[in-house]
Amino acid sequence: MRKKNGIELNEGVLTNSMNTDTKEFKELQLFLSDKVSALNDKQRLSIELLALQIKIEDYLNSNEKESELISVGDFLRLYLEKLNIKQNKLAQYIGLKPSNFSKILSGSRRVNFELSFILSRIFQLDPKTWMLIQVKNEYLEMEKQKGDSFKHYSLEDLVRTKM
Amino acid sequence: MLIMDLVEIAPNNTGQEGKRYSYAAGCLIAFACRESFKLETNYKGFLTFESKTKLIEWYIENYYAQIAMGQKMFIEPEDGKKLIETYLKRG
Repeated sequence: MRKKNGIELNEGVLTNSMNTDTKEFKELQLFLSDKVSALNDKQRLSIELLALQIKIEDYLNSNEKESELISVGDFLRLYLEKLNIKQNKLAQYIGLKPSNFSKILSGSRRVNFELSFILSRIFQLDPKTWMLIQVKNEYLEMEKQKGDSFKHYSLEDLVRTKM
Repeated sequence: MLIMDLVEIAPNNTGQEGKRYSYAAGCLIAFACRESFKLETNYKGFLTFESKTKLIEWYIENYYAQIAMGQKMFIEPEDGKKLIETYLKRG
């Protein structure tokens, strides 16, 4: 954090409400449009990477009961689309046959730790990210399909049971 | 674009004496920056707001904000990212 210049907050309200129905606001939009246009490719890439990282973070932190399932493949497709990378190019780069990579995208093949490390390295994420998405989704699936069938298990029952 | 329309922190987080939390304002501004990255428009990552007149310099010095026009200010994506790292990923 930069050094403060001595201005001390003495009241809690830090902003004025912005009226969006004014000529001045239209000018602000134009001003920011120019700023957006001036972004270079590296800056645009950085914005997309952070936006996707936030999307994953929010998914992992979302309420499990309410969240709609987003697969590892769904997230990977988003990366490919937003960063304009061909599926086969990524597959070759990480040493996978395109057919095997397709299976990961479709969910018929699981991500392992090695692949999670590699993909996280490429997309600048925590190495555990892809495994966490996978575990969350597998948990949600299990909960949905068989959650009720485990209810009869309990420590009390185990202690009581004679074998 | 994402407009930070009203930011208010509790009285016990302001002033020098007896301040309860030092990072309340920073966390709120960083949260707004983080939300701006969820936009699916050209303005993704840009945060705008209208500062109180006397806080313009405070925003510039502490939160990388820049003046767009008058009291209208903005925080660029790269600077928003720094604020997210500083205030929302504190260990």
